[in-house]
Amino acid sequence: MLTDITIGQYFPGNSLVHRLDPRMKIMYLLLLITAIFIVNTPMTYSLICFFTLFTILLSKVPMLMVIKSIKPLWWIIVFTVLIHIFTTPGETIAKVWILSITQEGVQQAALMSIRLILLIVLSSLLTFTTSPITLTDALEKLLTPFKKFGLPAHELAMMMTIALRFIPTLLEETERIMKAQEARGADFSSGSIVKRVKGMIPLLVPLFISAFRRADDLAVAMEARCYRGGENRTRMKVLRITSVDYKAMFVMAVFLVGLFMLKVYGL
Amino acid sequence: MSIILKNATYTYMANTPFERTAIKDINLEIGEGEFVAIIGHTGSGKSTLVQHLNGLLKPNQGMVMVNGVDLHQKGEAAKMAKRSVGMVFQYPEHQLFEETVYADIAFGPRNLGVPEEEVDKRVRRAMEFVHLDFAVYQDRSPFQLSGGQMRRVAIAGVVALQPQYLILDEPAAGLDPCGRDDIFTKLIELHKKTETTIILVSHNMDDVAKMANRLIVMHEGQISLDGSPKEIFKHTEKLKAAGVDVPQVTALLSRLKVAGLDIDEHILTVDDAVKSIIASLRRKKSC
Repeated sequence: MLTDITIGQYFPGNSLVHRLDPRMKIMYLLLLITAIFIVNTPMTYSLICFFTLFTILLSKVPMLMVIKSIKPLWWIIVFTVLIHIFTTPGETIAKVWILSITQEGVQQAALMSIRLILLIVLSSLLTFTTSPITLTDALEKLLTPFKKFGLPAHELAMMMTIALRFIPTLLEETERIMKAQEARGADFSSGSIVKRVKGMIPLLVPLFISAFRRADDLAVAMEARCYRGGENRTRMKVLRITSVDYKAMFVMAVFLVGLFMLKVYGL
Repeated sequence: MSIILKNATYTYMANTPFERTAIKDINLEIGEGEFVAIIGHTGSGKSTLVQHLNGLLKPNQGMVMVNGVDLHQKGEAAKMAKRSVGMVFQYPEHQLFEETVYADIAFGPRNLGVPEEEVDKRVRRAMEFVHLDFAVYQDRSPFQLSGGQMRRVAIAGVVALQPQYLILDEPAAGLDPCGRDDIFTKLIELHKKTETTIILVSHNMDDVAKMANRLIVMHEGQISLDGSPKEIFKHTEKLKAAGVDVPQVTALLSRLKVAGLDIDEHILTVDDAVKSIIASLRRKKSC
């Protein structure tokens, strides 16, 4: 079923990680991503791995959901591993046809795949523990300084909020129209490619019409409530840095400084 | 020949935190020629229930049989069984897509592989059924029509399939009283003329009480009452728990009875109510 897809993938909860300030969470993610690309020794990597694992446990998001989040990017990981195994020059340890596997290649492949997995897991951990609305809220706040250079921070955030808000609605709509047309004998899943593409028309036409209608309704509703963009707008829920955030900042700082020291001493 | 649900249970988004069981262990048999109304509060599981009747949803547990065929087995038999059940969704006008009214109504029959002459006959009949003049509307774009007319085109599109069982999910939602009466009159006519089994989903007791010969009241994913309208309205407490009202006429009569008028309160139509009130007033005068 289409509605089984949880896009935006927020996992409701009240764990420590959920309660962190979303602005800080975005910053932590950026810092961690930078760290992942800077470090390069087994010791530092395993430290980051442990740290990630620790955060997952702390967030109380089921491990299965975290593993599932890697699934869509599975092919990219496999592809990267294969390229690195076969193309890195070095000491040959095995030969397959005209391709040779080198020891450096295996090391490089392992390193790259860990990097990729860490990137995916950490970013999805952010979306798992932050509701889409707070996330865009935080993005708006973080982008506000760039307004000076003409970046429409509020408008960007509003667009993102609306898009996220309508993903489930449109999925539901798609499913409903599919069912309605199936009940009239339409077939979406068999036949030649040409037939299948043609078969999409009864689904796409009503879907586009309803998307435009919804956009129109929303625009009217926003205007009726005097929406005029971000100028002088206040918020009902103001983002605040709390004691949990100070603790998290401390842990994060210790961890990053630790990593940096290890890197400097070449461990 | 009937639709049978055996121990059907359906859960949306199973195994996620958003899990929600919509219907629980439903046992139901709907016979040929019945006029059934399914009523219940918003979220009571009525729409989920009817989507099982033509195989659009597969129960997590239990089975659905139409004319003795399990809908979820493989092969032609199940396909044919599904086709004998037509379904009009909520706001069916949102499914229109063709360039002309004619083509949109013909979409269903053409999918069934009906020969072109027969398609033409069916489209004419279906348009007549929903009161749309064939000559005037056949070449119009469905998107130029008014909301009520679009609704009628969409209903015609399902009627043209000539199903043995016809399910309608809130067919009158968002229509003016005139349009609503029109659709309901037509349904009664269809039921009488062609002996099509009609299954009507609604949350409005007034609409369905006078038409259906069987009412099924849904409450929290289960059938709380099942029987003829007269029987059902005796269970006022259970109806209240399910969040549905008795028809306004019935409510009025029971209040008159409380006020001391000797009256039969189990009455469903305005005409009958008038007769009963007059009769009771006459009796009062004579003694």
